[in-house]
Amino acid sequence: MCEAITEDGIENQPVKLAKTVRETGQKCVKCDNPGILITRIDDSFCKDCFQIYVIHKFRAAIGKTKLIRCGEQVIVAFSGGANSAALLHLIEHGKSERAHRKLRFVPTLIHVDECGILDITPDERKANRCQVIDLMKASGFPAYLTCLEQVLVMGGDETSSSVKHQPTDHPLARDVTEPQVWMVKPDSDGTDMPLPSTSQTERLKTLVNKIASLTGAQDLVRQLRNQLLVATARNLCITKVLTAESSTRMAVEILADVAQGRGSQVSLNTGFSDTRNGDVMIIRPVRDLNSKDLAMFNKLFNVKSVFIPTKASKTSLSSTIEKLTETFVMGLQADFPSTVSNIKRTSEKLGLANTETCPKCCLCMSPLDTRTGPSSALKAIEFSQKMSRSHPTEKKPTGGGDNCCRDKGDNSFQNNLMDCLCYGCRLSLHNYGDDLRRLPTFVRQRAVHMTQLDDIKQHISDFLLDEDNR
Amino acid sequence: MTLRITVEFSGGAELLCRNVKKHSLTLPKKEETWLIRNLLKWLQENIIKERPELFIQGDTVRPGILVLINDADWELMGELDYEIQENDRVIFISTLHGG
Repeated sequence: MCEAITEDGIENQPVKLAKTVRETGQKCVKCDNPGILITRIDDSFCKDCFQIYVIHKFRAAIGKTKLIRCGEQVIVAFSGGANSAALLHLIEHGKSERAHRKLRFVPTLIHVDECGILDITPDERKANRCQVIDLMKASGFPAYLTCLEQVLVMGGDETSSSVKHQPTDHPLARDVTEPQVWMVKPDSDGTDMPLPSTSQTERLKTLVNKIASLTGAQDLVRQLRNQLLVATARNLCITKVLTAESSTRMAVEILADVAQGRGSQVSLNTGFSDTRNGDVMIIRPVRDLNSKDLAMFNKLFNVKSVFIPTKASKTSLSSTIEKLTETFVMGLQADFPSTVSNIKRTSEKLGLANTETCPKCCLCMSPLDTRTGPSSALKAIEFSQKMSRSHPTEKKPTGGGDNCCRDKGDNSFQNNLMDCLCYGCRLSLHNYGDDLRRLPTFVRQRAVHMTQLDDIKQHISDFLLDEDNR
Repeated sequence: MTLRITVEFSGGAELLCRNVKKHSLTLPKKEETWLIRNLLKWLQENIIKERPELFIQGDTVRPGILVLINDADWELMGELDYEIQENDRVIFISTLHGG
């Protein structure tokens, strides 16, 4: 814990909540009505003042940053969970006549159906869909549905145009389409939207289950979902995506990201806006409210949400790094109510250098942190891994000469692909081994493109002025 | 005297009790008054079917699970020492990711 000693020698320690039980019947800090919940550190609020508080926090976050222009189209990523349901309600309220000043942007909802990775029956999956669709329809905003399986067929992005322009018999140009979305019609009950084919769902399952650790699998799903949202937004020609992470979620992600080798991306993963994807920006408008605020808001104002389990549901407290971190943060938060805001405010001080031109990770699109010099910590890790693992890398194929050559080619592709991933993605995929070819096409397309660029750069390097000597 | 109350689970906490959200319960007769403290223990023994460690930690609920008594935060009602009354509605909301 950080401790600062002030000039008079008194230590500034974090405020620990006195474990004595609060007196009952406290009044609201704003008005004299009886309070019904405690928020921030120790303030009790009544229902009306709490509503004003939550709406103000949301509007202030949107207004302060001035990122969303008047009349602009935005996508609201709607999972159906408590946080996104609260966000949707706040937007609805902001667009309604009741709002003091109306919200000026035009929302479109998108739900990414991730049930494909769970072991549930198609009927259960449909039931989940119907519930989410009902909520989206109730809002009256245009709504779309897509499913995580679409990452398997979607292409890279505008940067991989060189691959697109290759003859169609190129192995990567085949089978590539734009990610499909289904519009939710006002009279639809969700049954008119086809479930992805069983083979596709199976492919997605294999892709995720291939990762031995649940931490890695969850991380891959998160990256794939983000990429799908961004690609979908691009197709709909919308450049802002709103997601509903609460401050509690942010605090957990900040610590978990560091533990999972994504320390260099913390400011992108948890800032108010995430610009890593170039033309499409991810915005987190409820990151100033904590999970209790949002859950209480939903309860008090009858905001309906759907609970859809994740792969880590009902697993032990230490099943993933994320869950372990969450237990740690929540435990600390119970005794020290400023934990979450402290972690969040610390991360806000982190920034990134200009990342527009630097190479990006082919999976998560964050700046590539693995292109380091020969004497870096990363190279040292790689070296000791190579030395300590009696990994059968020189496995000789049992087949004939043809196989031998093909394997060589694949191996070099394999290495290239690893080279195009950031450290965090490498960690998640480290036990993929020979199966990196199974990664979704868009990742491989980006990798091919990046390798081509590198080759060209190398070819013309003699003619270029050295960046450092300019 | 037996005590009739409603207990609800949401936000993923319902997964631990066979996906049933709403429980109408009749608490058995007891010498002293029923406190939330006793209710938690009773729920752990009778209602929570799986992984009680995901719901209870020590003698209280796991941090991250909100408790509402008659639609008000339990922190304002005396927390574990609240005396349960007839027809009370106790709600447990998990705010944890994935329940």
